[in-house]
Amino acid sequence: MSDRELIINFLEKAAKRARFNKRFNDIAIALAIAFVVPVLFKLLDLLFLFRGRTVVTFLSLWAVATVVWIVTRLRGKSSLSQVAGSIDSKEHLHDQLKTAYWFIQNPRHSEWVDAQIHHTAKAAGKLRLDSIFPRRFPRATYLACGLLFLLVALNFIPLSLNYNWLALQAAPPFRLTDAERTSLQNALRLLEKAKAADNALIAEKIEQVIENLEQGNITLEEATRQLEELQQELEAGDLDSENMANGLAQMAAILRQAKALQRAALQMSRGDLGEAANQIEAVSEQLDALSPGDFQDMADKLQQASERPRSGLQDLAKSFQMTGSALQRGDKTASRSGFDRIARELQDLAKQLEEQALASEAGDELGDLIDALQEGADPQESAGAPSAGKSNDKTGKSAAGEGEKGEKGGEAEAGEPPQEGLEQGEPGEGGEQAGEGQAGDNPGDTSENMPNGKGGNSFGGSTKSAPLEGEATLLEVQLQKEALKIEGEGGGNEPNKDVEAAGERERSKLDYRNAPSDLTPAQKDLLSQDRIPWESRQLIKNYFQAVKPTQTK
Amino acid sequence: MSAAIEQQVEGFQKLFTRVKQEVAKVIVGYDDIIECVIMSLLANGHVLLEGVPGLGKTRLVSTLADVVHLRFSRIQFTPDLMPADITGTNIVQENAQGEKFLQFQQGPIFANVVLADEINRATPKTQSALLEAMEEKTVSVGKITYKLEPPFFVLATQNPLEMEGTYPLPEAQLDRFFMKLKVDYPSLSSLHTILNRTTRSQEPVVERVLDGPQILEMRKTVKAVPIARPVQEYAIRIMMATHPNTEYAHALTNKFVRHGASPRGSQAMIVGAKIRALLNNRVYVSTDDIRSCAMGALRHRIILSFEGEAERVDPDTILKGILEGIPEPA
Repeated sequence: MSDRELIINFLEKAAKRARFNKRFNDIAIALAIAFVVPVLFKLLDLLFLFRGRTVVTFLSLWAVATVVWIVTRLRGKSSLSQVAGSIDSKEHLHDQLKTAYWFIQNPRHSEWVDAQIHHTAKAAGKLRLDSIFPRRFPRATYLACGLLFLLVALNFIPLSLNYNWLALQAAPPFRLTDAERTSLQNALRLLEKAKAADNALIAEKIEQVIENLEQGNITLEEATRQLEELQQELEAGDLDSENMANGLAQMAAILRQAKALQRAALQMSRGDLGEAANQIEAVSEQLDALSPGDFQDMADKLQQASERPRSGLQDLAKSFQMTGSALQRGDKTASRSGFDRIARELQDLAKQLEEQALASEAGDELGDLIDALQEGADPQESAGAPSAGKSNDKTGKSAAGEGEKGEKGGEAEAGEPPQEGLEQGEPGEGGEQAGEGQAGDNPGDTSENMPNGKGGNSFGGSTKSAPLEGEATLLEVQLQKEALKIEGEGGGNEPNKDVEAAGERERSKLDYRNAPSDLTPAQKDLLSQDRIPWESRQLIKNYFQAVKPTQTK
Repeated sequence: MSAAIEQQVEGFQKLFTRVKQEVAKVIVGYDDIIECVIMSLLANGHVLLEGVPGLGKTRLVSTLADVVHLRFSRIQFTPDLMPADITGTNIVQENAQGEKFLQFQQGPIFANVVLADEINRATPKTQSALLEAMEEKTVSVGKITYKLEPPFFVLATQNPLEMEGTYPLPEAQLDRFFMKLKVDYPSLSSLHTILNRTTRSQEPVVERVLDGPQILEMRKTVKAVPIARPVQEYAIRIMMATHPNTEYAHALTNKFVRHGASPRGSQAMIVGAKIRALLNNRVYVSTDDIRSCAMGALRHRIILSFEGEAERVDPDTILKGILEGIPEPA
């Protein structure tokens, strides 16, 4: 083998070894740098909980970028001249190999050149590739392995919010907070209690909405909207309940005028329909002991109470009418039968109202959940505490939720917990109702007759809706009054009289709640909500109690 | 390495070392300067020695002339020195028949080793008298050109301190010097040796170890050393990096240099590098050789710009930057 071939062979072997080492080193360095990215991403995942799609997308992009980068790095191939230069540098050969290679590639007839090549060939024979390009793991390999180990270890950190990517786990698109989950469970539990077929369906829908939200199938706004619809559906019966409660109170007020029915009427007015049923049964049993005057009295009042029944009380009113007729006739058997029927109707009503109360309570819980979700979607707009709900895709959803927050927040404030409403609604606090009460339908109402407190609902209706205070305001009259008020502005005291007179003349007998309307029950509910701030209610109540006229017994 | 070449290289090294040793008997502490001066002699170049008075520049040259056994002449440059005082002139002669004729009287330039002492004291006109001799190795007087006997070697000295009454060398003159060597103060130990040698009754005596033909032979050996194109390109890149506002210009060059080195600079680098290679027992030129010669070969060929002059930038600083900035050829 000639000196030239010897040098070329040596350089080719060296180039192979150098290429292998360089590639190994490049891959190790590339991986060491590249692994920093998923490790940081995993650390961020522990804080911000990326959803599965995000994780898969990111890791796929990272993998592709890493492969492209590595391929790009590996693509270059060093020439033999570069390898010769590298060996010269490592072995302090003062460009001997590089010069010899150049002379081999560019031959010239010179003894000096031949001498140089010969000298270089001898030197190359003494060189050992293992010492020039040793086979060993580059330091970057250890770093890459360390980062890989860290990445794996991070997946196994026993944290509740840590998802193991290696087990193909990732954070759901949305995760309810503990408070939100409690509200949801309370709502579902109450719906379960209510047991009505519709409620079961609504419960299923709520669960479906939450599941869709957690899986990212729907946005937070969409989920909130659907939940609001379900809440409206749940609270749709509130107005009926209130209407029924109001009607029962009116009936009770009438029945109370009959001495024999006073106890039952008292229980009815208190909302204890079960006890009222018992009292009715007791009356039925004691029919023989009653005088014909009592019979007549009861018959009159039952007939009177059966007139113009409110929605949902038609059956009860019919029972009142039948029983009144039987009493009128003096037919004790029919009367007993009638009273039993009244008792059954009352018990049915009690059950119906109780279910509606539970549904309403569930609606309130659902409302809390909606509020929490909305606050979580945009905590800046919310006046309350920081986000209760937590969106995993913060940017898009939060931004989309803007605009509605102020309004929603206002609604949330206007609503009040049902427990508080019930606490306030104790007997004896309805005095102002008597003061404000309208003489139309219930001329005899007093504070004793109307034990329901302001803001409370002793029938278990939602306190979120407008509380019952005396007679319902008549819409037409209100409008008339407003119109006259505008005309009379700047006209001194005289127009006020006109307003009053006009109001009296135009007083409508139609309850505005029975007026035909295109509004949905939920919209009606919204309109009837009490906007008095919770913290001011006691003050206002005290004020009206202080200024009310003294009652004369 | 073939035996003949090996012998040639060995002989070169031997002679070089002997000259160096002989000169070092008198000149102490300037091994590098001595080596570069001998290199210049063997490279067929001229040397400009710059240093403050009393550092032995003139002694170095005269000692070298003694060692190499060549005809030596010394020219003390003064402001009133005329070109004819250097080159010689035609003078009127009378023959036996009484006929008058002009006869050329050779000046001190007609020697093998010429010491141009304090060259910057003469006017540029007089300094220019050396131009032809240094480059063409000829002297033209009137219509006749006289060839100088090889080897012709000019060693000029200049004092960098005294500016009064001095004339900086023209760029063309500077470019003709193979190397410009800066002679600094010797070290403490060197000074002890200098004092010991110069203040005693016996002064060191040098032997003549080299003659003209040997020098010419050594010059042939130097020229035979091959250089690979990448290494040569490296030298060219260094030279071109001194040219401001060009593709290869260094940042410092663009800032502080008005004119860069001429191709003579790269020639000097390569020839010097060949001698270095031979001295290091190599028969090829490496980039290390190029680097080691770059300073001496280029520092006097760089003309500083106004900014460079104003900021008193040393050309060596620029060259260091260039050498650090240019990667070795692959």
